[in-house]
Amino acid sequence: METTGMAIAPFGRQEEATRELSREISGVPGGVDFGEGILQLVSFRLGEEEYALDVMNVHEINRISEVTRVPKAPYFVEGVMNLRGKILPVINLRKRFGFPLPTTDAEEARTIVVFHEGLTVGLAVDQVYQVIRIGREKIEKNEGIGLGNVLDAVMAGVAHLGENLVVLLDLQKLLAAIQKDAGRR
Amino acid sequence: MSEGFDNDEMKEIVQDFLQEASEMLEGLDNYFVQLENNPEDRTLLNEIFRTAHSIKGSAGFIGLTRIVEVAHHAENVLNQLRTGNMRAEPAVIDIILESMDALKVLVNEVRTGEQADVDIDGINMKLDLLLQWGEDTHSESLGEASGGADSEMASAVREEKVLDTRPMPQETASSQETASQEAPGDLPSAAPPPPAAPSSPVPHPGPQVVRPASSREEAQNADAGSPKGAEGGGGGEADQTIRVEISRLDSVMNLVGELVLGRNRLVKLSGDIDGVTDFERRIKEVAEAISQLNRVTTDLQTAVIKTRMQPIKKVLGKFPRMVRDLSRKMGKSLRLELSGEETELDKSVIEEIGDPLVHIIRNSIDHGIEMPDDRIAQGKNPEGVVRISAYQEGNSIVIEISDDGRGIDAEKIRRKAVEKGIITEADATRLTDSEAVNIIFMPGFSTAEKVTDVSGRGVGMDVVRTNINKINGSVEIATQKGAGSTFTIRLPLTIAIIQALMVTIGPETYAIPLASVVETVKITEKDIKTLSGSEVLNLRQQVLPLIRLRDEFKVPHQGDGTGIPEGRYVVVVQVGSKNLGLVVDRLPYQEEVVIKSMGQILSEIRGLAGATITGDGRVVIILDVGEILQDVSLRTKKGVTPLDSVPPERLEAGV
Repeated sequence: METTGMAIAPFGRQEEATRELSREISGVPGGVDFGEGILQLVSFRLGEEEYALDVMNVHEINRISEVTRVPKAPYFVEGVMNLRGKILPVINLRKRFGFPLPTTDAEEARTIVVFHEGLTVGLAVDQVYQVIRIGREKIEKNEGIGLGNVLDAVMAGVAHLGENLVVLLDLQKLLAAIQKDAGRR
Repeated sequence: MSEGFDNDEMKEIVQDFLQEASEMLEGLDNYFVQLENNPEDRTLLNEIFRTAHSIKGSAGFIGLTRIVEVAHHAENVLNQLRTGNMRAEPAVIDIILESMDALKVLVNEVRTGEQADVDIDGINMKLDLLLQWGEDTHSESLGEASGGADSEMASAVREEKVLDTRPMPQETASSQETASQEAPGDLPSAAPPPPAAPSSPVPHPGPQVVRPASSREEAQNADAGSPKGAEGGGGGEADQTIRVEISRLDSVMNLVGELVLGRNRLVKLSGDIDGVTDFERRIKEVAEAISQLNRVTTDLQTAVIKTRMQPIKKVLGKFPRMVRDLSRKMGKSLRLELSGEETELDKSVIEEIGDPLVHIIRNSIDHGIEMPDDRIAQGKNPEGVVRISAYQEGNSIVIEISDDGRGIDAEKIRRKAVEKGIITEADATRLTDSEAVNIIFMPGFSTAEKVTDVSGRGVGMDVVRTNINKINGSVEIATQKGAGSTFTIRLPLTIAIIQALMVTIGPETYAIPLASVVETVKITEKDIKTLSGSEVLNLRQQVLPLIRLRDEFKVPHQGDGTGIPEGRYVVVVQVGSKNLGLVVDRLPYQEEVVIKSMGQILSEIRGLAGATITGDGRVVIILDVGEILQDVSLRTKKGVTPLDSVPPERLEAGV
């Protein structure tokens, strides 16, 4: 299982981010702090859209390894994977958000391993872009802009990166919603 | 006293005290129960006195004033018993046991660091009144003095336990006695009376009520000084420890030594390949080294598992006291017989099995054993017997709990089950008696006519079964009307590692715990028959209900679907008294697997026990056969197939 580099990617977007270093990154675990300073985000692709998670919650990023299907699991659970002897559920974010399933590009697909309050899960995404450093003032706190109930419930805001809009996910809410749906069955 | 020690030393001393005191108090419980049956047993009385004195001594040494105080008052009473000035009647034992319970709470208070709500004054007062009464009279009724103890009941109730008396560690006991002699300097109120002073003045309630006020302050100071943080802030679960015999650790150490040797051998063999001419010989050497490693790893696995094993006595040891209290409370005459207490179980199993056992025993006593008069009327011994025996049977541990009570009326169970909508009228007539009786394990079933304090709170036997299933065990009941019931619990030796049968369905592989597999049968598609809409297999003239795991798990078909083999296998599984055939494609191999959790999100899925990682790194799902059986029978209860009509004789086949 290869871990892709977490170093800041040399893409042009960085000028968007402001001055200071990672020391200022405040880690409100799970949630997103909209105060001053800089936020580091891991951005990834789902379909044609860009999403991001706070880097503080990201454990590692893996190539999609072999995933074992789990019978009777909730529809959005891709299966379970072996992360160095620990068994993790893998959540397919496309399925979770109700996107059509991809037809190509399996080469770029990655699993983002996130953890929050003792819960570790893999999130299957189409492609991982980079780590973005962005000033908090560039993030528009927005919790419901009509992207559909599933997504509205788990988004923390929208980051403006030049022309691009990146949907910032609230991991705490995402995992809580997933757990709630899994328990209801 | 504590100034002489640094913080770590003190912590260690307190830890040692906590462990010892808990063990001693538990031991005392059992001694008192024995004493009640043999009030004149001098050896026992001396042992009790010595143990109580040890607790007081070491508590005083650490400065735990509250414990010393209660222990001191109890000791005064014990001394009277020892010198023969007082008899160990049930009412007396009641009060002493009450003080032991208070001591347990106080010991726990030290552990958690939180002030517990114990009425020390009240207990001391009772003990003192007892003492006073003991001086006044030797043989009169205990009525008023014991504060409401029913002496009639007390004398009617007899209880005996068959438990080997574990001698207290002599060495520690005596070293503490020396320690306790230093203690009085600090604790003038707790000076131990000289053992040979039966006529020592009785402390009167008056001055005694005043005393605790000052000593409580001391206690708080002492508490603040020592136990804080000793448990890592947790309430006991955080720092679980286990006592392991040195010999077991030694054997682990030896095996690790061999493991290292084996590795060195392989490293050497793989290192100097240059100049090797006789490759055949080299390969043979490597194979030898690997087979040695194989053997060592297997042994090491067993040895490590052994370090986690503990005698079941840890659980059973609490029961004599419990049964004694129940017999007093309910006015039933009871005897508890224990056997096989040395049988060993994994620590995690030991922890989980306590509650189900308590439930079953309470149930047997409450519903099973009759009142003494009824028993006499039936020509039985007025004293009811509850037997608990534990033994190893192959790869599992069996615990049997039997009583000689009234047994369970299968007819009554049928009626109740229909009333409560658990089964239909038609099911009821179809069930055999032994199947009907096992309905008590179904959710929502409780036959208690009235809710009592002891059992019958509606969360009865289904919780017992669920808890036992959780640790991969099973429970069954056999009963004979009028002659009693026997609960049989089967548990795996260890729960972390199990033998599993690997099965494949199309592209997927699953693991079935071998413990629940009765046999495997090769069939072809045309062997599968349908009976009122459900698929069954006629296996040696017995009807076996089938489920196709392919459909149950919605396994995707491979490609064009031609990959489905013509031949099939049926894995016959059994849990409790129910059998089921699981239809699979192939049975590639058996393997020892380590059960791992799939995490919170997937833990709710019925029918899956967890997952394991195979040698090639793949994740394989482990089935929970018990849950699959439950769900299937639930489905058929609502539907049509008479799943329960599989005759019990079948169950023995192939085991």
